[in-house]
Amino acid sequence: MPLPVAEVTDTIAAMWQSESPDGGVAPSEFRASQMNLILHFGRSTSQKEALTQFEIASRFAQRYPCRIIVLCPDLDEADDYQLSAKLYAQCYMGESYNTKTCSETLLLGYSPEHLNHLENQVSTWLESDLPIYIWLHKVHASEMIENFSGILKSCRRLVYDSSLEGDADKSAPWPSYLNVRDLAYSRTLPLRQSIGQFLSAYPPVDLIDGLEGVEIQYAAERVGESHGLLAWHRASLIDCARKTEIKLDDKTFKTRVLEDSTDLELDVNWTYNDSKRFFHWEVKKGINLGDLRANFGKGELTFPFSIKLLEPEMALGEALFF
Amino acid sequence: MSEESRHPFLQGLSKYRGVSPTIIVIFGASGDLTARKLLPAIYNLSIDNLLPTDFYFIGFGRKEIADDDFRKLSDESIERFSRSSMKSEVWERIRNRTYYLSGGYDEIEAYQRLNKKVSALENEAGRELQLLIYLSTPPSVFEPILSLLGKSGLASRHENAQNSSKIIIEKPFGHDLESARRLNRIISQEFSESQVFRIDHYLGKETVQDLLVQRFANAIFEPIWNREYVDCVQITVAEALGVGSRGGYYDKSGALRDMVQNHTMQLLSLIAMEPPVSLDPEAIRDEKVKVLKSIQPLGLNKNASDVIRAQYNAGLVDGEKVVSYLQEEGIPQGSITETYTSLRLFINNWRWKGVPFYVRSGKRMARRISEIAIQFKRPPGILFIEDDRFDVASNTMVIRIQPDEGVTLLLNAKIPGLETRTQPVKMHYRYATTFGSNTPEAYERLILDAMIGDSTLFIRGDETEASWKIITPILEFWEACGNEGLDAYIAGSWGPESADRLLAENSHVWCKAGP
Repeated sequence: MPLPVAEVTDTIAAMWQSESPDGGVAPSEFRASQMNLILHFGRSTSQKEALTQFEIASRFAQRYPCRIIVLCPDLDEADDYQLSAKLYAQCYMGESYNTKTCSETLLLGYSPEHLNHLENQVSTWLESDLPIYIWLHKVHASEMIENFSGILKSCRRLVYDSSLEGDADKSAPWPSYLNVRDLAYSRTLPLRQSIGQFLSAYPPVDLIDGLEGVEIQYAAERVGESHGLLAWHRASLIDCARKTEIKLDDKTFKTRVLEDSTDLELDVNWTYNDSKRFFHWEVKKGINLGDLRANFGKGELTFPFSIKLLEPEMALGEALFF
Repeated sequence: MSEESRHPFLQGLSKYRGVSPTIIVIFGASGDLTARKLLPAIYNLSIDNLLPTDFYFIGFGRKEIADDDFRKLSDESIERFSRSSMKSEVWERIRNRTYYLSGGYDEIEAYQRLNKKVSALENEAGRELQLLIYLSTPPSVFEPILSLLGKSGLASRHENAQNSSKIIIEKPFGHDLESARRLNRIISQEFSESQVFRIDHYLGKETVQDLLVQRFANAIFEPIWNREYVDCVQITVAEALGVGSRGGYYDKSGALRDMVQNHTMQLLSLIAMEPPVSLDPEAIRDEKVKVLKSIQPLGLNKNASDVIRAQYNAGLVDGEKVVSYLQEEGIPQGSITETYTSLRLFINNWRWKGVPFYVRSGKRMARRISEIAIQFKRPPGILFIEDDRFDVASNTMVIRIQPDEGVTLLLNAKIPGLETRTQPVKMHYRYATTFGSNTPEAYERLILDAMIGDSTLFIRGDETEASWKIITPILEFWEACGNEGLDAYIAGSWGPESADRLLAENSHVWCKAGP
């Protein structure tokens, strides 16, 4: 429903009126909201990308009911430019009264030229007293820091996707109080869980003794995942080293991009000074099951495991809450 | 387990994602509970990727069932009862690791076969596996099962290690104090307390877990949560259903054993306990036991009793005619089993001295509802003396456990207009409209907790005994009375009039249960 910006708040209130027009169950009974999610598109976001991310947010709201505020760049440069708003409500019909929930999405078209006014406008639409989360898509960290300092102060978590945007956001000078999370790393949760459970069967000394290095090769679209996984490997192995007093200083941890022609998304190899020992696993495109292959000195073992990355809406939940 | 003591490759992962490789063995695998609750729970855990990478499932029962047939039964139960639709690519992996073993519960050879199977699966996995045994059998076979689990060595696999054997035991934990003690003795001969998980599925409900949060994460309640401000507490666990096909079982049990001894006593101890020193399982359970131990012995005599019992007559439930209890299938002629009971309890401690806790539970009541109502004392009637203009209600906080989970606060407000007139209004927070309703089933949470060895939401041995210590004198009193004092209520009502009189003695009335 397109509507003037000034009418947004009243329209939402009317939409969820507490009395049913036909005497049945009032719409407010089904309205659900536990948080505000601001999905902020930057000026280089394509229409296709915006639609994909919007659908992810909608699926996310089905599991975690919330008010979604979508900020879409409007590149129209007319002199009499005005912000434009659209209101979108969604209901999920469950089998029973108790499994029907409704939540709402506000879409705001903004001019990048007026970015400095956007925060005030958005602040009036946030559902008061509920936590605020921000999901950035191709928005420069500097723009956020400069123009959204108020909302960032009350933002519980800010997420971005390093596979789409590189590592710039990770190293941006975010305010120290802000919790910043990478969706690419969150997507690797099932991998970390499966591999963690597998490796936890071995004493740290078996994993680290004689280790030469860890290399993660990745398809170009998995750059964020590869960097996140490498950091996880490194941190866990450093902790193994601390427990065993074996030094890790001279070990190599590196990532390398795979050639385009390969059917692999990720390919992970641990190498040891004894060539019989190794740890290897890989993720193939479109395949959800794979093998962990290892020999940590007690014979070779092949172990089937689920290698599916987390679904986008689940990854969003993981990044925002855990 | 502290984060520091976890394996480096599990650190940073939620404890729920670092579950030890596990074999679940369900005793009574062809039963109703397995089909309706346990298999769907295991399936949903696998959907949420919460099961360990090495996970096996073995059904054990007296019936002869081939592995493949058991897998087909599992498929059917998931398709019928699971909250998530069947995703065969997820289930396939566990399905292929699902087995069935048949044998008598008192036949040592069957346990030896099971032990061999467990060892073979460990060989297949190439690592040690934690054995989680789920007793979903009639209580009459608990004793032989526990004893043979010990004799066969299944109870002591990987003893004292994190992946030592664990056992989940379904209610009822005994039928009186003596039998509960005996059961606990047998359990403790074969298992240490840290291996034992006595399940009460009520504790797995989100709203029950929320009780601790409501009480101790909100500063506004704790200062008034005591005898100075609370007038009475009412706990209702009502069912609209009759005994159905469970007549034979129910008639030996009755409302007091079936619902009050376990579910309502758990709710009472959570609502009345002191703040635990931490969220550690033992700290919470210590406080719960203290409450149960502080309950004053009930007044039990024929003329003035703290306890009411009744049986339902024919009536209307949800607009349909239903028969009386005595006409239900499997109920013996002249049965005096109570289908309704209400209790007036007093907790003899500093916080609650003199505050009545009313508990009621029954079958074929007006509606299915479980809720706790904390009724606060009225303000002194200086300004708003109750009359035609001022309808002043006691402030009441209602915590609804099921259905329509949520919290309601009854306040008094001014009716808009020139005259000052008052009326009670409700502030209502409904779980489903705040958090959505796709929450895990109680059994999912509880099975996962047992796998990781977290006993917070399970009942400790001394808790069961403390609860039976309150309940057993009532059972003995009723036995001595025969049918004298057994009241009746109409199916579809809120219980017998005698239950209203019980509250009237303290100038209270039952809160209207429901939204």
